[in-house]
Order: sequence, then structure tokens, then C-alpha cells
Amino acid sequence: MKKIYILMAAAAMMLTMNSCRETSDNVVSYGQYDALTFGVDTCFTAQFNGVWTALNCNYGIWDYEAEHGLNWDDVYSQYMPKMEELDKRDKKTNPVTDAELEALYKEIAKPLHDGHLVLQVMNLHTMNFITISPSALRNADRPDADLIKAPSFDYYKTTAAGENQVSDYKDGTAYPTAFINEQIDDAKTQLTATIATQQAKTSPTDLDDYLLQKNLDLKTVLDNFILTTPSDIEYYNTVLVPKCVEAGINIQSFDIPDSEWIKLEYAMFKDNIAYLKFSAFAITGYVKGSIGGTPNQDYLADRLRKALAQWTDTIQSLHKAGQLKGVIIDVRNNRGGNTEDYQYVLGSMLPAGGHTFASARFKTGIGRFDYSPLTPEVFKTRKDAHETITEPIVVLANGNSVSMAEITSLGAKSLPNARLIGTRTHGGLCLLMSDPSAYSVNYASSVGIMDQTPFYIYIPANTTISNDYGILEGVGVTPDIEVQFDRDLMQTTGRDNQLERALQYIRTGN
Amino acid sequence: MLLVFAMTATAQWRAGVTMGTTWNHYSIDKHYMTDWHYEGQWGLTAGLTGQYDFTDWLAVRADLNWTQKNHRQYRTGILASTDYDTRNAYLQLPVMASFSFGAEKVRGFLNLGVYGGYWTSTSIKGSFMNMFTEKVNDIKEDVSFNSDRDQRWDCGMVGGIGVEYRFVQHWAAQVETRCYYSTTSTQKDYMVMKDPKYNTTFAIQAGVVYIF
Repeated sequence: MKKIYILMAAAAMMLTMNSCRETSDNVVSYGQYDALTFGVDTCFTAQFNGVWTALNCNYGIWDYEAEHGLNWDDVYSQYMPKMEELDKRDKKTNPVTDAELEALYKEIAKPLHDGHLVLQVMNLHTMNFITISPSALRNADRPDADLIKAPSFDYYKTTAAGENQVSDYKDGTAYPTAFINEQIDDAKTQLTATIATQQAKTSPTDLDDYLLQKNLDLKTVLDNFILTTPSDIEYYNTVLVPKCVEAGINIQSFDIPDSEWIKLEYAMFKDNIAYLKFSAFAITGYVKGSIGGTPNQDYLADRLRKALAQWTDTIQSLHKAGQLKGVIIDVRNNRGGNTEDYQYVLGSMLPAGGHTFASARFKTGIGRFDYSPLTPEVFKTRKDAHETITEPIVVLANGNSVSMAEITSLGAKSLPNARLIGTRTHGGLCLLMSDPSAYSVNYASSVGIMDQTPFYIYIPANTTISNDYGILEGVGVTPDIEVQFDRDLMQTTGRDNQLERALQYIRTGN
Repeated sequence: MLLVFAMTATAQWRAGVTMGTTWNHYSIDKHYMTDWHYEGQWGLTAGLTGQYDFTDWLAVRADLNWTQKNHRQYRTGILASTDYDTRNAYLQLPVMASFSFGAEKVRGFLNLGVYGGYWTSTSIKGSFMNMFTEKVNDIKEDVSFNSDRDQRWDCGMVGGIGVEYRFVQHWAAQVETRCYYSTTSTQKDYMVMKDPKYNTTFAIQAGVVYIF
């Protein structure tokens, strides 16, 4: 009988074991833009809870942040009471100002090192959106933070550059200015010929005089047209083109392409140093022909392809002839873009099969440290027959070299014949997916919709980890030869001291 | 005192070795990650056992064993090539009351108790798809523990039933099915939000014991 009692007690113990386990908190999916997830427009605490949780579950470098002393739980306990205070304020009599909310979220976001991270919150009292970029806050104090445009190359096209003058130059800019200016130049040539014909008439009629004057006026308009803003493109399309067509001029309007525009320049210095500068890694669409179909898009794609082909072909032919002195890839102020572009730039000079110098990991769970194993991050290299360039390569970078521009910088640092010159890059090497609907592919990228949902967060889809330097978010790639940009020299003479340092390195090896 | 005296009157020691296979179920809340799937996996167990018989039907038994608590995780959908096993090794010390019944040569037994363990190693093997490179990578590596996240100490309840065959006077063979029910999450309570994960491990093991 005693045995039976013991057995019954044991069985009862086994049956109640479930109560010894805790259950998980409920976590909603940020891939859904529904009220459950984003219906937090009633109070600041719910909004903060959503922001905190979305980052907690989807952000990729919490271990890195912990190494830098950030405890995300402490952020929750520190700022939730402050949000509760905001909720106590009356929307009509004592509303929370945008500046107040921005200051709070800047404090929250600033310690986060990811270089791509963007946080947007709606002020629930003013209904205005506040957008915060931690990397912009962090880089604001850097000397080259306000260099919006890449340095001009014009000086080196003149004889004043002396030994640094280029012997060949091609503008491969796939940009509306290139297309429209060429159309206008062509229109002016046609118009000048028409005017000359009209002026040559010995006994013009009143109608001839009227048409001549009209064409002279149009010539003045075309001479004075400068394309600077997107509204100028509209003016070109809706005013100038119809007027030219009316005057019998053959001219094309400009259809704005869906893809990114890109400024790209190829040059060859006199002593066979090849140079490429481009504003974004948006080459693949033009090269593969996915951009095109309208006259101006075909024109832009063709223009870019020709400049790029000239760069790669000239490098190959000079290398084979033993005459290539070196190569400069200028990614200063390059905002990054498509990883596929690697094969057309640095990857065009490397062996086929890809270039691996970093690893990637992805989210595998909602926990802050739930990451996948590391897998090689293989960047594509040129596939067709070509020779590996063994001559010196310099990548020029600065604090506004972002994302793929930094990946290219990092790639250069892994090559024995390449050097990175300039200043430390922006500090955002993790890769992203631009399509917001791709959230569930890696449980990252866009959380919410910009300017629509009560909060929106742009989160990288992976963590890029350099094989040699580890995670570089918020730090960037450090140049082998640091050269601060000399603004005065550029403003007074047009000379680019960083470029000239690159030329010096290739020529002297130092 | 009388009971203890009565028990010790028939007391005897046993010592032995066991080995067998395990099947582990990993209890995890996937939350919104619905295309991730977790399945139980087979593993191994081996250990030493010691037992002190108070009476012919009641004993206390303690084991020291190395036990694998493995699971498989894989994705469906566009990243379906991701599929790998996680192999976790624990050093465990179950302490159980052992109740036996039946004839002298062939006896059944029931073990009930608690166990403590320590997570000694973890490794992964399988494939993982990097969606940026669109390459499926073979992975086989030891995984470092994260001291902030991983709870390496484990404890829980253990129960098992088995059969013993005493083939000579001092030797017996045993076959047992056992369940280790962990009440300790494999990860620490390191976030404001709770997300515990538990192992439940079934073992089928055989062993021989020497009866002193």
C-alpha cells in the first residue's frame, strides 16, 4: 500500500511539472502594419514601448553595443518614466513640443552605432514626424561632415595641373543634366542654323521677321537656361521642348528614370594612372540594361556604360602592355548602393570567383543576442576573361563615404597592392534591403512606414563583420594614409590635396 | 530510527555504467518568426551510476552522465536552404528515488527525482543561406557561449522506468527510458521581455551494474 501512495505522489508531481516553466511575453510582428503593431498613436509610452521592442528584437549589433557599455534594458527603465510624464500633459493646454520629443529620442538613439539606422517618431500632440539618424549625430563634429559634394575634378583637365593633367577624360554621368544639356546644345546648334538662314533672306516678309524674332528670343531663353533643380527638368519638359518643337527643332523631352541617377567620371592621367569617380553604387541597372526603354534612359545608360567600359578596358590593355602605373577609385561622398556593383569597380580588377574579406550574420530569434552563424560575405568580381591588376590601387574615401563605398574601402585594405587614402569612412557597413516588404526575409530592414506609421525604423538586414577588424559600425574604415581635405587649396586653386596624395603614393610607393 | 535500522539491515551498494541515445525536444516560442521551425533531434548519453538500496523496493540512485540535448532548426520559404542541427552537451547529476518491484531475477523499477547539470559545449552543423550572396554555406563549428544570454546551469525533474535482469549473483543488466524535464530556461532573464526556452530530453539507455 505504501508503494502505491509513493507512486501516486510521484505521478502527481510529474503532472504538475508544467507549472515550473515560464511562458514568453507576447511579441508582435513588425512586418505587419496593422493596428495591433502600430496602433500606438494614443500615448507616448506605448509608442516608446514599440520603438524599444522593435529595436530590441530586430537590431543586429546588441553585443557590440554591450561592449560599448550600452544596456538596452537600462534605456527602457530610464526613459519609460519620462514617457509617462509626457502622457500626463494635456494635448491642448500643454502639448509636447517637437523639440522636446526630438531631444528625448536623440538621447535614446545617439549611443546606437549602426551607420544606417534611422528612427522616426510621430509627435502625438503636434502630429509632426521627427527623424533621427544616430550616425549623423555622431559624425556631425567631424571636419569633413559638411562636405556635401565630392571635390571637383575640373582643375586636372587643364594645363595648369602640369604633370597631374589628365590625358583622357570621359563623363559617364547618368544624370539629367548630361542628357538635357546635350539636347539644349544640339537645339541651339539647330536654331543658330535656322536663324542664319532666316537672316540671309534678302527680302523677308512680315511673317519671316516675326519667325526670326521668335527664334532669336528662343535662342536667348536656351542660352540662359541652367539646370539646377528638379523643377528645371519640369520647365525643360513643359516649356522649352514644346517651344523648340514649334520652331522645328528636333529635341527630346526627359523621362525621369525609376532608378537612381549617378554621376560618374573616368580619367587617365598622363603617366597612365587610371581614375574613376562616381556618386553612388547604382551601376548595375545601367550595365545590365534594366534601365532603359526611353530615349533619354537609353542615352544615359549608354553614356555610363561607355565611360565604365573605357575605364576597365584601358586598365586591362595598359596592364597587359606593362604600362599601367596604377588605379585610383574615388568613393568620396559616395552614398553607397547596390552590392552587385562591386564587380564593376574594385571587383573588375580582381580574380573571378568573388572577393571575401568579411562575414555576415543575421537575426534568428527575437532575443538581443539571437544571431545566425557567420557566413562569408562574398562580393562579386568580374566574371569574363580578364587579368588581375597587380599595380598599385588607391581607394580615396572620406567621412561621407557610406555603405558600399565603405565596403569597397574595406576590400581595398585586404589587398596587398591597394591602399586606402583620405579620412575615416562614415561607419555604416551593414547591408540593407531597400524593399520594406522584405522585413520577414531577415526580420529586419524597415519597421513601419516612413511618414505614415507612428514610428518607423530603418534597420540593416545583416551585420557585416570584417575578417580583420571586426564590427566597424559607428567607426568606419580607417585609411592607411590619412589626409584631411584642404578646402582652402580647393577654393583658391581648384587642387585636390587628397587626390594628389593618391597620385604621389602610386608614383613613389609612399 | 526503527525504520532506518530496518532499511540498513538489507542495505547494499551498486555501481555501474550506462549508455544510450537521447531525443530532445526544444520548447521555444517562435513569436512572429513563423518560417523558422524547430524539431527534436537524436543524441547520445553515457554515464556512471551508483545506487544504495535501503530495502528490496526502495533505493536512492545517483548518476553522473554526459548527455546531448540536440535540436534541428530550419526555415521554409525563400530561405529554405537554411537547415542546421545544434548539438548541446551537458554534464548531469540526477539524484533519484528508485522504486523496484517484481521477481528476484527480473525486476521493474521506477526512478523519480531531480537533476542538476552544466552545459559544457554547443556546436552547429548544417547549412545556412546568406541571402545577400545567395550562397548556401555549409556550417560546422563550435559555438561560443554568450555569458549575458546563455544559462549554462540547468536543473529540473527526472523520471524513468526500466527493467533489470540479474544474470549472475553480483551482476545485473538494466534497460531504462528516462525523461529529463528542465525547469531552467537555456537563456538567462537578460531582457525586460521574457523569452524562455526549455529542453525536454528523453533517453533510452542500457547499462550494467555490479551489486556489492
